[in-house]
Amino acid sequence: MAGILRYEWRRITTIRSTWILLGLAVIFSIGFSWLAMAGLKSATSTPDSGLAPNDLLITEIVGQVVVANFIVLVLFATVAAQAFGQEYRNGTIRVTLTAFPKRLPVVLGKVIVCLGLLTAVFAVCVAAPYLLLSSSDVVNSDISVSTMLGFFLRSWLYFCGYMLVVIALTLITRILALAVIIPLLMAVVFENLASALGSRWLPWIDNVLPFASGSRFVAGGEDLLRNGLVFGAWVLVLSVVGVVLFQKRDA
Amino acid sequence: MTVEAHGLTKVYSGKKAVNDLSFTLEPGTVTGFLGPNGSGKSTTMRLMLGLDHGEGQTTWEGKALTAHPHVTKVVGAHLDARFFNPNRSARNHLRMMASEANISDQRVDEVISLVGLESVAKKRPKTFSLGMGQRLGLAGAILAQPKVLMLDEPANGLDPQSIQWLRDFLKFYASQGNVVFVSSHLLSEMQLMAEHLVVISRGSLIADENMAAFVGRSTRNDVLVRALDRDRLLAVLLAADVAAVAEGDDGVAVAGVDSAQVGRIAFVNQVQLIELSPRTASLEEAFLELTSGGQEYQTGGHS
Repeated sequence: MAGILRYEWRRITTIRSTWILLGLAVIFSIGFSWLAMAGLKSATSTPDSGLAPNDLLITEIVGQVVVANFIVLVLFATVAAQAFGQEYRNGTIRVTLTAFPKRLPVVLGKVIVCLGLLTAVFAVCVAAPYLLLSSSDVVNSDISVSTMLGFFLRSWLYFCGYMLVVIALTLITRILALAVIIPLLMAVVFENLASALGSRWLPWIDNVLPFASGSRFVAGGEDLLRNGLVFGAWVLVLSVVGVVLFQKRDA
Repeated sequence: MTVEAHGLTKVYSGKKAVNDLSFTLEPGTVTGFLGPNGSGKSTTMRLMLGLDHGEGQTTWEGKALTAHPHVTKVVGAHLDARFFNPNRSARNHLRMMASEANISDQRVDEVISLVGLESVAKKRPKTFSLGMGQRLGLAGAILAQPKVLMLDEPANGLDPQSIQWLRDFLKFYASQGNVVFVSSHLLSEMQLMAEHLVVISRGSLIADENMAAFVGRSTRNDVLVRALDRDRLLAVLLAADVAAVAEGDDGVAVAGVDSAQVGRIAFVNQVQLIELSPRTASLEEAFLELTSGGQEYQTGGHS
């Protein structure tokens, strides 16, 4: 297992695009937070906006500008999809699987290293806006430690789940771009359509949509466990399908 | 280390690409792997490495590849000259490959030097020529000094000097007690390089024997004998029930007997000879003869 972890670490860190994408994710996170802060400052200083300073919780803003921000998520997702997508595109999957013929450890090694690196950068992407916003007087940062930690934990779980979905889709489709685009379309287009159109005939549809459930899970509130389980179940099912196909198919 | 392939079979859409293939690769020998295009050579190599799933098994010193703790020390494979990320430097590509067995950067630099890629080692290989890609692939294969080298068409795109270097290197590598299994369409090269051949056609085994035995099976092996009185020579040979045909002004091509027998017949019949030369078929001739009709993708005639 140590071999595949070393291999994957070198794979992911010796590609310039990894650092460019992750650097952009940090820049966008901070940039969007700054824009949100500026926007809130402007709004709260306008009497007829109906918005007063400290109306909004800091976790809501960070959640919107980082965790639920699909520009940031796509940057991370591209790095995650590269774990297998680049390997299939360049044929190096055969080099990898010649050196590591047991395929399950390959998946585990890639997931561990990929999520490890992405988690470290994601932490920066969440912490930097949090510090930036908490230094301002436009959002309510007076929250308990447990609330803050709960928010961070749920954000991280959602983030990991999203990345696992992307990795699973790369294993299923073997196409990097599809693995990045499908969750995005699902979350931004399909789920909204399904929710809007299906609510009349299928009132329960909103409760089983993966990313809608995931977003509600990050936001906290009621049905936290159920939302988390729905999102987790989607992640699990897609991951199992991806791993089984990876094991069964020719390299 | 001995490599044994047993009953390798691969079916694509109901068609057998590899059909119950069994052979053994011995250490200390360069084994050539020959077959027409689409005959299943690359598929066989992938089956042996576990990259493709099919029937049969390959054992490496009696064990499955997955049972070895460091696979890169068992087998180094180079299956395609384009199997690298074009945006990762050649050196980093090899450093990544070195990770499995924790091989030092010093060894990485050593193989870069060996294959002559020092000047481009830190460059991204997206502009590499086919030959440079082959060198990088070969460097990756020999990185961990594996007991088995498995190379699929490694001479494609190499210049003549590099082909000669590759031939010498592979012979030397095998002489160190390693297995070298190499496929190539350059049959003249293969004749100079390989001592043993595994030949397949349409996925089935045609030959698994040493080079001399394979070439010896060709009907193009004959004896050229020239005499002052060619007609008399032809007559005595035919009288001795030997397959002989006139060739040129004063020659006779004799098949089915060796030059000693031809010389004895001429001597007994007092025919004065001016040349007696055994002619051996080239590997190419033997290969074409023994695999005729086995091409998956046949070319048309002259237009």
